[in-house]
Amino acid sequence: MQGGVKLKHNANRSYYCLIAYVSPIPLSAVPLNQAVVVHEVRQASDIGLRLQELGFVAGERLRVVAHGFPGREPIAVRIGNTTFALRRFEADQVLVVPGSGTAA
Amino acid sequence: MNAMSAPALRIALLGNPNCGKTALFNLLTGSRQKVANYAGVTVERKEGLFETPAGQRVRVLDLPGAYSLNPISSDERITRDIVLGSNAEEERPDLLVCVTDATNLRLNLRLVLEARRLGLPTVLALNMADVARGRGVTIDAAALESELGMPVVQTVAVRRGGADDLVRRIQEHLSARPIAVQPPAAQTTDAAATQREVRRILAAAVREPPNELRIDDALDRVVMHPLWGYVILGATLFLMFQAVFAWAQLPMDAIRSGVEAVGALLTSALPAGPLRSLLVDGVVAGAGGVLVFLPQILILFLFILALEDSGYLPRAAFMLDRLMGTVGLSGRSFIPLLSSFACAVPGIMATRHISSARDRLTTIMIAPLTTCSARLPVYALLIGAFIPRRTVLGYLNLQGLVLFALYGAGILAALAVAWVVKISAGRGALHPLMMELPSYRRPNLRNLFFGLVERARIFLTRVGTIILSLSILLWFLSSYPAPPADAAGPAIQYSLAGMLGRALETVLAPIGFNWQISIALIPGLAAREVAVSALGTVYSLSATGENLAAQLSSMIAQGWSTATAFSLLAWYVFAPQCISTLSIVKRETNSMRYPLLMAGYLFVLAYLAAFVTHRVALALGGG
Repeated sequence: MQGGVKLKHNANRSYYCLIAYVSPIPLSAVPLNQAVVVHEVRQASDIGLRLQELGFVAGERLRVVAHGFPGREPIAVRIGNTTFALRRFEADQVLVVPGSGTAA
Repeated sequence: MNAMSAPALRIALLGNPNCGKTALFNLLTGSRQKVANYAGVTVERKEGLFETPAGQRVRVLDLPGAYSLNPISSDERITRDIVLGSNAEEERPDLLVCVTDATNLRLNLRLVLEARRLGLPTVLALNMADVARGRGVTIDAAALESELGMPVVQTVAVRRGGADDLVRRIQEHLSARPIAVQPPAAQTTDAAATQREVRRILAAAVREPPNELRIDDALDRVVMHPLWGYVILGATLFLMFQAVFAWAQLPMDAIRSGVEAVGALLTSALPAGPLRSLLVDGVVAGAGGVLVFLPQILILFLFILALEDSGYLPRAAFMLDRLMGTVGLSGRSFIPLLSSFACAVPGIMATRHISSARDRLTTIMIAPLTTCSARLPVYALLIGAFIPRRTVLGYLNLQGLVLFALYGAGILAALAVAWVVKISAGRGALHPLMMELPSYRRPNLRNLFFGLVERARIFLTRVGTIILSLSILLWFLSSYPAPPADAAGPAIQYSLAGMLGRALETVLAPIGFNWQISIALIPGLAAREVAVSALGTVYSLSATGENLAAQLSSMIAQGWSTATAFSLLAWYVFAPQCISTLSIVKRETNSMRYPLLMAGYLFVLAYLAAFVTHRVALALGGG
């Protein structure tokens, strides 16, 4: 897991972000317009494979641009030059960590 | 080799959805295209033809859009089978054109890498090359060619001559410079590794400025806003349906009076007799009555196609997805269902914009449950005759309330059937969406034009073939055998339709239908509202139009029990008898199975609803 050294950098952030930094959170839990980086895509299903084929691979930068209504579903995710709408259970296959990321 | 006698080269366009593949197909083939369905599935098959400047004929197949050759939908399965050569009806193409959106190679290039493994000669088309240039994206075509090992051409599908480079390269493939096939070795199939390869190639051949989607971002913030998004959606839908009814009025009136003029002309030109009756009452009235819907269909599709092309329609689907998801559908089903309130025929045709085949089929099946405008004359007649004009709860009109309840019953029934389909398909749990929200762009006029021509052609073909022949059949049933000279009742009573109606009465008596209703239901097969004029015929009324409705209203108010009237209203919520709908379902699903299934389930529901309504009404003293 990413080290505690970085926690210091984020000491002024909220507790929520602190936790998020320590353990990756599912994409469905990411607040609007926060930059995140893909940590891992769950491989269990066809959905995981398809998400990878669409570009959801480790190191890729993502941003949630809109939530549906009600229940904040579906979730519109900007990836590269594309936006995909995912239902919550699909977004849950993608685990992310916060950060603007350095990936290309 | 003699170019004229050589068999046409078969090429296939392969690409992600939204890469402008269909626009390129339209540009290449112009009006020389044929649209059908792949057997047994609700997936469109588009094929066209063009000639190279050297006169060689090329057949183009526009494959269903696919993100991957690992299919998750029936569209993608068809595409995979065709490019692998394992589709039973489709020959494997001789040449593959991988169409990519040049502004979005990051997403599009992965499929190209997959296609490279197929062992087919392949050309890469960088489509929307003009947009990419405008955004400051520079693509080193030579570097891309050497990285991919396939020729790379630039195309602008929305501009005349925008496919010239592609056509030239295809011509060269045929004459001097055949395209070499990639050796399949040393290519990875691992998803993450393939993505790394995509990024490596992009780094080597493409330079793009960061974050150029600022306009999209700004639009998305409003269009998908939890409040303003719905305001915009509501306004768009309002404008759309306002247009469908208001703009269509003039051309519809023109068609209606044209049809009447033709009928009048035939009436005066021909001597009274079977031929005149056939032409006037069968052909002109039957097919003409359905033809009237053409302007509404064209206006509806003008909106749908423009909204789809601009990128708004997927966003509207996004906004409505959760709502539709509760009954197992996606946001894409909303507009087809809304359109069905005008008429189920355009509604069912609009289901083509639903990407998931399963959702599309469910939407088709429930479309006739939304109350189409053809049911209104029947509702108006029965409500006028049996529901007192009274104010309830202070200001509500009781008749209006009943009409509202009938619309509500239709919507509830549609949702219930969708829900049952969802449960019985064993997919009660999770149903993926994964819908791309493509960049906003200006709708292309050529695409709109081809889209509209195609819809008009489908509709007119239906009217000209199935609907026309069934109208003639129904006319025959209602006219023969002719009544005896000393007949007392109306002629239809002695006809085959009359006999059928009498026979039907034994089936329909338990739900309170008398023989007059049973007979009227048979010509009512042509279109639901025909039942009103058919009732007029059965009761030997000579009036037409509003006078007929008024006379009929007082006639049935005296003749029918309240229970019978309510039972007929309940029947019409489901109203299985509309051959135009059933015929378009056959066209769209390319099978007899679904129209039969639809007629069957609607009939059962109509019968049950009418039976329960009749019994309850009787128990409450409505006899």
